[in-house]
Amino acid sequence: MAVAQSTQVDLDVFVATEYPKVVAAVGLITGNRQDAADAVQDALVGYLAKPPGRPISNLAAWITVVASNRARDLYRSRAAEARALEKVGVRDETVDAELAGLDVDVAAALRGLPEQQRQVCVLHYLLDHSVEQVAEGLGVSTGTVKTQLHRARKALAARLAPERGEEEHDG
Amino acid sequence: MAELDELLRDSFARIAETDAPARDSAGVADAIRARVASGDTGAPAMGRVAPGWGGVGTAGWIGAIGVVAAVGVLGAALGASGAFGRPVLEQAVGTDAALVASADAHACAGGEVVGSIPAGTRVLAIARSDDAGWLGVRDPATLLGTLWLPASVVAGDAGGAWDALPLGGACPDVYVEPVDPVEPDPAPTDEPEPGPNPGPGPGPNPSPQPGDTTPPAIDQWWATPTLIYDDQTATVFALASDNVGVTGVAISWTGAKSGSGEMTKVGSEWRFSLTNTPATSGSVTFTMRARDAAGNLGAPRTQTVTLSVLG
Repeated sequence: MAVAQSTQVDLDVFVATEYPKVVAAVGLITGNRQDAADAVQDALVGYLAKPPGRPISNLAAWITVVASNRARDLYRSRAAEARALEKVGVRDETVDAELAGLDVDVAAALRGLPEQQRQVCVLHYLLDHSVEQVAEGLGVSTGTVKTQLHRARKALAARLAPERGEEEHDG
Repeated sequence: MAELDELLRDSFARIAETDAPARDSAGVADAIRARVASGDTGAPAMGRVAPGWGGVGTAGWIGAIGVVAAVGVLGAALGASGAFGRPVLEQAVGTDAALVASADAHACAGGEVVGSIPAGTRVLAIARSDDAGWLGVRDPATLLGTLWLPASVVAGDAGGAWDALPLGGACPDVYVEPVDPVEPDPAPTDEPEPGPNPGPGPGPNPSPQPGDTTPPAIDQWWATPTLIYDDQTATVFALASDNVGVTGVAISWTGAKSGSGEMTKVGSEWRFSLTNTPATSGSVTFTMRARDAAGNLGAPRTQTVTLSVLG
């Protein structure tokens, strides 16, 4: 299968500049950082092999969302095992083993959010996308992004406040 | 909240730095390009990770182990009893290949359908049938069993020279168990002799039973994924049961897309896939209904999938 030259150039640039952050973003969104690299590469292969019918103006956001769905599917395929582990109180501690204390709390708080809020949060705070860019990438209105972001910040503030020993006020 | 924003940005950045894979960007790009060139479409059957990368995911490891094991170990290790209880090869000589089209996977050449493998999936061909019409490949999901595919859908990396592969794939003889006749006349009849199944493949659909008024049921149903974007595919699954036998599951869908069709039986599951092409946003509600040979219809079951447009 031939790959257009222009796409090859885009791939090289994307992998060199955006790929590490996108892998991290997918790991944060899914809470399954071990499968993130596989999922991102699968998404890139899918993008090149069967490009979407319309131009993708925000490839990082597109790959992040597609790959997080892919990683979620991988995770669900092992869901029974995960549920069994949860029931007996076993959690994969190796996932957070390399992180420092506050970052463990942030990652855990993020995992407690609904998926759409996690996507919006990670695209905004990690990939530094504006509300307008996130909306464009997700194909939703800016109002939806603002709402999801507002709810995510409120929930994260509540979850992180005890650890930080201070009170967060919604504002 | 500005403090929270800063905290999140800093924390996410640190987590990203911790997770960041080695910066062998050329290796990753080359590996992705090689997958595309081989016909891979990013299908979820097998994971492959670029060489030289840290943090190799589980799927990547499984893929790597599969190639090594299938070539060097599995052929001998499986010995006389393979997965599915089917004929097993004494020695596996693998040929790397890829599927050029989605195909049903059979337990033996032309035999029972036990699953399906999507186009683009990388496989290891390890056997061929006598008539060269079928190829045995290592099951990409379990890496243990052997699945049989029509040779026409498998493209070997070396041009499809299958002659070096050992022969196999013959389906074992299947004997049909006699069914006690349900007739009002209790007079004894000669027990029919079991005879060989005249042909491969699954048995015929259940015959209608007189007086069967028990409707079939869909016991479990689900979809994955439940949120799809441009050109992505969601598959709806159902597990159905009946006192005689389920002959089909009708499915219809309304909402952002609408239509109707029949679910396909793959193994014990009934499946139907919908692709978000042309891409649209909204939700689609699928309604599934099983039926049996007597015409009984089961209770409808619904499953919702969300469609969204990117870009």
